[in-house]
Amino acid sequence: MPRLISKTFDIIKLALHGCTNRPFYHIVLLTNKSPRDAKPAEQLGTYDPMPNIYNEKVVSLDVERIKFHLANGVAMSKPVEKLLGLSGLLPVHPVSYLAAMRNRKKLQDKVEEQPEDTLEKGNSNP
Amino acid sequence: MAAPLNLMKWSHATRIFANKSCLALCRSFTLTQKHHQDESTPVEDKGNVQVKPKKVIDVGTSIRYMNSDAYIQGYGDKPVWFHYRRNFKGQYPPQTREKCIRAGEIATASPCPICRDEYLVLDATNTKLLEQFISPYSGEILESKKTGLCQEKHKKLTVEIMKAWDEGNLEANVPFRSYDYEDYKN
Amino acid sequence: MAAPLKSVLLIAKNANLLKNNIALSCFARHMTCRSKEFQSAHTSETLSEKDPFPIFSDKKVQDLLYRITGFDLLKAAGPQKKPIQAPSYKLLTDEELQKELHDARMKLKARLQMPPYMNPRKRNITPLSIDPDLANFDSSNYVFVDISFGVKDRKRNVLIRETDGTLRIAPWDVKERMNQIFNPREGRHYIKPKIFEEQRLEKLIVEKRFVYILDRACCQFEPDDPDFVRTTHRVYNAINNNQEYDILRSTRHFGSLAFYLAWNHIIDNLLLDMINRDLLSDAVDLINLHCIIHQSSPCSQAISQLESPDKVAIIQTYIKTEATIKPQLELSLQAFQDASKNKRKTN
Repeated sequence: MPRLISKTFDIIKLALHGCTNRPFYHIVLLTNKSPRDAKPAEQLGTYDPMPNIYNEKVVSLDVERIKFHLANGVAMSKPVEKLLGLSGLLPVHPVSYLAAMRNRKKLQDKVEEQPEDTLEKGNSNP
Repeated sequence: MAAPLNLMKWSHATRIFANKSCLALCRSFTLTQKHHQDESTPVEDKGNVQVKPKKVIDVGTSIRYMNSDAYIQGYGDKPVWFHYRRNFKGQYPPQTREKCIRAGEIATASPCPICRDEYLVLDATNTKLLEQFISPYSGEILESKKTGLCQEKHKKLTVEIMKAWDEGNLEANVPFRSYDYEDYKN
Repeated sequence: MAAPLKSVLLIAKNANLLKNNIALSCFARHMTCRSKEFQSAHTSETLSEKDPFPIFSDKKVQDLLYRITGFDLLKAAGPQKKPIQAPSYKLLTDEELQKELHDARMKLKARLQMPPYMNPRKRNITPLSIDPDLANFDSSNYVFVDISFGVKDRKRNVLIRETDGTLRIAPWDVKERMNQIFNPREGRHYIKPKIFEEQRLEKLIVEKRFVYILDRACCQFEPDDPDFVRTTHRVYNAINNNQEYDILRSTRHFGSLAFYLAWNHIIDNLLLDMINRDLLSDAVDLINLHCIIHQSSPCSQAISQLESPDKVAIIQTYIKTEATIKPQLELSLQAFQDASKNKRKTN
């Protein structure tokens, strides 16, 4: 009996290009079953995860086409959801808030450790 | 087969002589240090091989050389690459060699126009030398197939010319920028 | 404001995330911040800083400036460095030849298009969204560029999400860099060339390579970039001080130079140069430009009261009312009048 309900759908995801030690992503419209590097139905932008000399990560988004697809009910992978949240096109993803909170905590712990170390060093030197 | 082979060797030798003749008549140029040694200059003893300390020419000296009589005697008013004849078979010159100088020594019998003269230093400030490698008609950098430069020196030349364009020492080709006034009306 | 709101609501209906209230509150914040930014843009423009571009782009002023620029064919069509092409030969009738010459003239005229004269732009400081909860989400800023089709460079939306969580419209230098990445233009470099630094600029000005600097500035910068304004004003000042206006005649920059001088009340030296070269109609045009820009000045009022607007009369009213180098101007005008009288006598 053939399957009547198809479990394939369109999804906006990141396709990894670039080379060794130099990732670069294309934001791409694919079906969920396609391989990562398959020729996409449409390219909707790029994302460079490595910061440039001005300490910026550059993301390009074809907003017109992304809005069109979102309005048609396309799915998104989590990294894409996070990026669109940060861009202001969609609300900020809760995981971004969590990551921010965790990073702030790490920084705070580092800052709290340092005065203790200096105090110890101070004591050790007569 | 001996006769044609001798002929080829002879023509090859004359070509080398042609390349060397202009300069050799004026002043001697540095060959590999192992072959020519000047007894007056101090010599470092590195085991069995006696190596002379290398003379590195700075940009200022090179610029003075470009304006000196020695330069005019050697090159006249032509560009530095003009009289250089490459050795290759056929009509169409192939790609030039990768480099003439390996491990600080000239590793070929007919080095390219820049490598053979140590006083020609490629630098963004040495505009008189850089201009000779830019076409006066199109403003583009001449191909290494035309000038005979080895690939290493051609790359260095390209970099120095681009630096000179960036800093304003040389005039680059500026394309025409057209405006649409409607873009600027708010 | 209505159109973006509609599209935002459309997304709101379809995206799954928007089941929580966070979404709606974020959008509300986004919209209010947008409106705040709109208000601040209005109030930042003070009355004392008049915008020169509407006057510059006015047809009457443009025609005037084109007239002053002149059209020396040999200079405008000077030797250009282009990739080497074999020449093409055509067999033409007289009519076709005239058409070709006419087309060539039109092409050269197009090359005399003046770069817009604008005030340096102001920084956009107000943020779109302030989100302290998002601080330190990453160690670097995120720049979002809208690469929708058919959007021009100046209208392109570039946003920046900073490490402290604020989302704002990217500053102009970031926007220009992104424009160069996603819409590269020949002659424009990603990193500002060193030629526009103070020392090197001075060196070029001393060497009198004015046209080269101005052409490169046009290629590299937008007309309202502070660097473009600084470079061009510096060159115009140098030309004005040395009275070397002829270098820019028949180039695209003469019109902007004349407008700059008229805007800043320093047309006297140029006027003197024009009278000395017997370009009286150009001189009159320049004074008219001055009157158009400064409509409440004594000169414009005096000229409007003139009964017979003769060229010499207009120049004389300007000399009387607003000139700073009166003796030289009067002398050169007198010399011109004498020379024209002598010509009439011999003819």
